[in-house]
Amino acid sequence: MTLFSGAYLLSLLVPALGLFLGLHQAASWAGHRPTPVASGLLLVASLFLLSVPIEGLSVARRLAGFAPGFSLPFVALIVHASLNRLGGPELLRPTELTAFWRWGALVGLILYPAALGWGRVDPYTAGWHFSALFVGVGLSTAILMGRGHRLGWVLLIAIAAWHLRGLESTNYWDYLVDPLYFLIAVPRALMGLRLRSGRTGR
Amino acid sequence: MNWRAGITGVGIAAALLLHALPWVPHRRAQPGPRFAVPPTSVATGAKSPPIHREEVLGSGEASVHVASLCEPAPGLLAAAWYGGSREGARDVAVFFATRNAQGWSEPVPVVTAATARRELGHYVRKVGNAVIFADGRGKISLLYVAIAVGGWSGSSLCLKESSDLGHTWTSSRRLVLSPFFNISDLVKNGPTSLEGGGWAVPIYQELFGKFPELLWLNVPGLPAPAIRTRAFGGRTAFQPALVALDSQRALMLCRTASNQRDLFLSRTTDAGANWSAPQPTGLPNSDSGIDALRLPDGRLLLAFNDTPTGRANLRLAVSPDDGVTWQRGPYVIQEPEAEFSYPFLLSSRDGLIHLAYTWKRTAIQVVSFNVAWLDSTLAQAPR
Repeated sequence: MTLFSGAYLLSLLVPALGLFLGLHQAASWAGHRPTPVASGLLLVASLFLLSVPIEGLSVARRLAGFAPGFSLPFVALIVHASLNRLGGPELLRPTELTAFWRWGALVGLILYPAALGWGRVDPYTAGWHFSALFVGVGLSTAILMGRGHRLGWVLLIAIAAWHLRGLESTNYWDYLVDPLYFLIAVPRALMGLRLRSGRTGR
Repeated sequence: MNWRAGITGVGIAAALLLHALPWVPHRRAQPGPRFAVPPTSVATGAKSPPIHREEVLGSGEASVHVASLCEPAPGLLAAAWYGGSREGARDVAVFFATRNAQGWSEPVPVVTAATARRELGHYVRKVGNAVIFADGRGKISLLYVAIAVGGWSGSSLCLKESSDLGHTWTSSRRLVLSPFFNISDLVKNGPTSLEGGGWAVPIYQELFGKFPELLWLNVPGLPAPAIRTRAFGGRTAFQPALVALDSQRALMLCRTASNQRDLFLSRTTDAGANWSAPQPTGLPNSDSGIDALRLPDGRLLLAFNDTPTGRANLRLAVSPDDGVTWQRGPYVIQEPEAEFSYPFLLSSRDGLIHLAYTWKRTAIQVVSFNVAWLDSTLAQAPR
């Protein structure tokens, strides 16, 4: 992986935005909701903290030892949340957010249990060459885009990034979902379903 | 049509096109990979005088383990193993040495956690299992395990290559083979070369499941330089030794991962695309590493701990019928309460068989013999 490659930049940006969101949330919980200017300063501080080398390796690159990449929908979610805290434009609408969580939960449920050894079939292999994965995600992307859903555009970026080898992985699954996204998406998606059933059940 | 609808239309067309594009190489794909298997030569070594010699390799480390061998040039052997204060310690290094007519060279560390961190540009806490293999044209590949967090289940595989017989090495490259934080793929045994170039490397998972996989490395025609496929899942058997029988047929002998203390066997008849369910061979396995190879005369040779508990002996066995039945051969070594483990087998171009193994965790022992010696001992071997 070369310096300033997409994978390298994302390995710095995503943890820095994650730290920024964590600090922002902590400040809000403490009763000091940061102003947009203070939020900007928090973001700069987060980028600085994650990129300062300690014994030759930045904290962001140390974290990259544990997670080789972040999926594009997760990057979109974290950029959306960061823009929101900075008082920037709304990247994703609330209904679209729900779809992002459902996507992460559904794709992760299809992938992870089987890929980690549950059964004989390994769906992860389907991400290296043309397979039902490409057909399914291609059609989903087209339908979502046709409905004006921004998850469709993010999936278009994901397939383009896969062709350009934008992440360290060469497997298409890693552009669609990652474990961190999945672990956050499952409770979020379940919460969304519970709220929906609560509304429709009465 | 307004401009927004136009952009959406272009986006949909691009999405469909980009998802369909991988179909083009898929449709044009050459026949799948085929194992490269040298023709058998029944007479090889049979009329030669028996040869059997033993050598000790060590790096002066308190603990050494997991040796592998390759033949980068005719008459030149190379070995790699890891050593440090103890297994899994942060000071572990992967060592490399070569053997020519004058004997073994001084072992040199090829990679440590510190050098892996520097080369990979991310955190590596420790390194471990390493396997070397050579393409016969002077290029040596070193596949090794790097761990950022946890134990062996936190492993990922990294690759280094040398084009000058191990004097210099390329920087490490991490192979992304697993969707779950890229863990936990490990390697123990050597690969089989493929007819069109590239390798089928037997690797394995040991996180939630313990099962064997194949790493298809640098195979022309495949969409990525490193792809892995699964032989079977679950927690029955892992740490495979891959033996190709012909271009399409191969078998995997696997260490047990279950309470059944048997050596397991699985077969493929389509060059690794599909594998049979693992079956016990009737030979014991004490949750310890094994290796196997195809002898020049077509028989199979297995090195294993012939005990359901412990690793106090190391023994050879031969199969004349592609792994259906096994005839126990000589003990390579045995001593109560001692550990002799992780055998690695190599057949060199001069007809010799080389067996490297961990000797009481303090040295790497290399035993070299020919088929004549093996056959002379088979008849006398205890059952």
